[in-house]
Amino acid sequence: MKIAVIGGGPGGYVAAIRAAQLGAEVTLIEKNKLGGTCLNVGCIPTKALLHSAGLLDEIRNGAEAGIIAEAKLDFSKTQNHKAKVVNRLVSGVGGLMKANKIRVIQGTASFLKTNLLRIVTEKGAREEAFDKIIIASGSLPSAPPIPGAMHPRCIDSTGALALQEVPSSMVIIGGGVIGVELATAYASFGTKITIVEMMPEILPMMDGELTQMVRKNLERKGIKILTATKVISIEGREEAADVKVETKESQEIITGDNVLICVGRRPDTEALGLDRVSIASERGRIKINEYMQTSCPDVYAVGDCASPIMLAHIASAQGELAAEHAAGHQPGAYLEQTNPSCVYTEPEFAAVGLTEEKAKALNLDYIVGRFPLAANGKALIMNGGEGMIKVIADAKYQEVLGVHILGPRATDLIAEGALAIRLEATLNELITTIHAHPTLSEAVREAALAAENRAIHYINQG
Amino acid sequence: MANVLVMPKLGLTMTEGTIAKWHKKEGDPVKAGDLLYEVETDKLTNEIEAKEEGVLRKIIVPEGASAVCLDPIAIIAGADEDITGLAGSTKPEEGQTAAADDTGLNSPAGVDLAQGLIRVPGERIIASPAAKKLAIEKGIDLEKIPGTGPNGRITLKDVEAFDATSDAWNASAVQAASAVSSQVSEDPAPRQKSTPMAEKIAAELQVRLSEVSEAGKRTTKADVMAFVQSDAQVHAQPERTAAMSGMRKVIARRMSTSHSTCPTVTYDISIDMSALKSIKDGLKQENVKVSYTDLLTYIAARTLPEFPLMNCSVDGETLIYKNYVNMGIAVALPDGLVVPVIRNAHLKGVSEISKELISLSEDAKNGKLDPDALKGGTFTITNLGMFGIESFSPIINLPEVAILGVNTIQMTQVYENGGFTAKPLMKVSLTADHRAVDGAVAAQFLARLKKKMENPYFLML
Repeated sequence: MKIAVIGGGPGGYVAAIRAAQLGAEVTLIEKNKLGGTCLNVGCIPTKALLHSAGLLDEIRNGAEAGIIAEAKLDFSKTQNHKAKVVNRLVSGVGGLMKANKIRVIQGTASFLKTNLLRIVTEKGAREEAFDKIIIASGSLPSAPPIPGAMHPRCIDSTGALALQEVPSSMVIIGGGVIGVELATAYASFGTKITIVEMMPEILPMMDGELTQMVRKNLERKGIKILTATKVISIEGREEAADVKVETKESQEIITGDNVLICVGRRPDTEALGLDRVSIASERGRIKINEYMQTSCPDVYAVGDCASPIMLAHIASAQGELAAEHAAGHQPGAYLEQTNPSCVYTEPEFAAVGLTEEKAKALNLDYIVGRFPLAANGKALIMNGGEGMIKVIADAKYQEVLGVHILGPRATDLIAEGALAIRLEATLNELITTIHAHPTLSEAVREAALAAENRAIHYINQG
Repeated sequence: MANVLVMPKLGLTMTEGTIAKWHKKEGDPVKAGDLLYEVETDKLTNEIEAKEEGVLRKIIVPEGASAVCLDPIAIIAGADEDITGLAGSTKPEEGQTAAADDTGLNSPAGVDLAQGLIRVPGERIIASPAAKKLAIEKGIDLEKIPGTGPNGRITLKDVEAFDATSDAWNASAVQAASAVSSQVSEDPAPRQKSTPMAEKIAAELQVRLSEVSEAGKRTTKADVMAFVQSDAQVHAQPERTAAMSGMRKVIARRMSTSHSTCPTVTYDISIDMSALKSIKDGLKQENVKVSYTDLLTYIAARTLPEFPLMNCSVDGETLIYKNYVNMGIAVALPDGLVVPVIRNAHLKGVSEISKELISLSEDAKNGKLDPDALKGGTFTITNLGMFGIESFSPIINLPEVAILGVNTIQMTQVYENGGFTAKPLMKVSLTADHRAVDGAVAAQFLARLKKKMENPYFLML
């Protein structure tokens, strides 16, 4: 079976590997670099900068733990470190392609028929037919229609990751995950940050109670946050840009060396020629069923080009599933409710399942367990015990519906919550699993205990 | 001389029985002919008498528990006789194992009876009917329950002792099962996997997870919910047994008696309800609410005295004529039906009948009906019109000799005065006991009833 994968990001390269494992003859077409947005201009470089920022903060605040040192930032080295990590991972993906005997073509692909692609490379264009095609073309930063947004002082997330100098000030338009993470990194590097968010609160998809705590942490770092605030226009100058914003009450102008626009991303599907083959899409997003099949059953779409949730791990999960289905297997169900959302703030913020707001909106009868990390030894050692774990369970059976973690290593800890939801676990399974001591993971168990009003290391509130 | 009582074999197909009741307790003296215990099979319950004299020294199989035919169930001996090890040496058939108890009975080699025999996964499960029933009730999968009975049979006690939420028990069972399965050459069947939520919901909805599971797939709560709503549930449990309620037993007995006692004939007649409809509507405008049953009761009660045979009862070869009309009205309840009686209905007005009927119905539905309200009826009306029934043959409420079934009102094209016109017609179905009521009498009664219902002014005469 011949399978083509369009796009070499975390959706595409994973789909290619899985299809190859199942014996398909796989061709992967990537117009830029293997690894896609995630490896090159997304998750990985952002985390690399955040790691440097975190290290800087730790050294600055190390005196309490007996580390007295003068911390100085060499931003060019920071960028080198980031590039080294990215290159290593990208070449790692290349190695995986070779090892799995996947043919990688540097070029673009568009549909001529549902099973026929036009592949354009430096050497020219050719047509090639495939049995199955998996689209994993990813996404691009959205460009909102703000007057003045095209000025060179305005950058998107890709630009923000590629800055060669630390700007003295930055206005970030959009308080979603990308905006908040880059704000966290650059604030540590010394940039004066203002986040402008149109919604009433930053990180609108996360649990409100913990988001409030995140907001306080960001403000403590000196980040100014304007919520329920609309951007009217941007006026770029040689050295900086003035952003005109409007709240219900007033208008003001905020100046920044750069204006980082990160109001979301849009599917990158324009060049695929979907109309030619009647593959259904809506505003560029390809419509798919639970097996990632498009309106043409032999064509699949995975990741940002098809999923409303644009996350690398969603793309990979969908990629694996699509490859298995395309290869004629019966893959396990794709369970979106096990998808963890991670925000790399300081401390980290991660969640899986329902937020309390969502549980309320669904009119569920639920119980909540909260455990402040101030009562957890490991957290106290690591970051002074900042943060909280919140578990939401249904009142009748105590099924785990949501886990929300704000604290050190939250993005790693959340896997336990995702597994609990995957296995339809109840609080009882979290509680009867022995958690090591001293660890942060103990606090997950304690939060489950707290939901039943029987936390051990915290005075129950019920 | 000590005697070991065994589970009797009461038929060729009987393989095991359940002790429904012990009429004696340990230590009671027993004489030959005394009622000793009741044994229940899947078909019937039998009372068993003692054949010997002595003292009931030991009950081996308690009430509710089961035993294979010819397995020991009790020991009758002299008051001071030594019965140690008795049951173990009195195996009626070689190779059978006695039930476990604390009197030193033999147990299968290598089986810790306190722990229960752990089955190899995939092995056939033997369980007593009572154990099966309780396991279904509790929503516990029999596969998970270690059996302490002979050959690892699951007894009622095992099911009672099994805590579905106890992970510790399951864990030990699994370990033991693995130990056993490692000694057998066959490939053990894979253990069934299910999520905690699936187990909880299955227990609550009394679903057996083994019926839901698909090979190699973890059973989720969605699977359980889908199963509950699917035909699989029907196939999995094609039958369900439930003891009749007291009321149901009474209905069954009385209806059977009536059906087998009296030769009945059912007579149908259509009645034009236009006049009664306009009376009913007219009263409604005056804020007086009456039902067709009220009106029919009133009219029937005033017609019955004209036909004494319709209002009598049969006692052997005697007819007992009633000079009063006690009108029974059938009231449906969720688990049966009752027939409260309006006494002296022939002397009561429509609104009095209406009030009494409402109060009797409410009492019946709330279970507050005075038992006397169900006695002394001379004639019964039963109305199924509200369900759209067009005709039926009601069964007589003995000792009465007739019952009037009321059907739905249907707009019907009627030919009269050289043309068709639509009229609200209602059939009534009169079932009468031919021992007292001949066809002509029944027909005349119905004709009279029809005349009064279609021309209510006759009621003033």
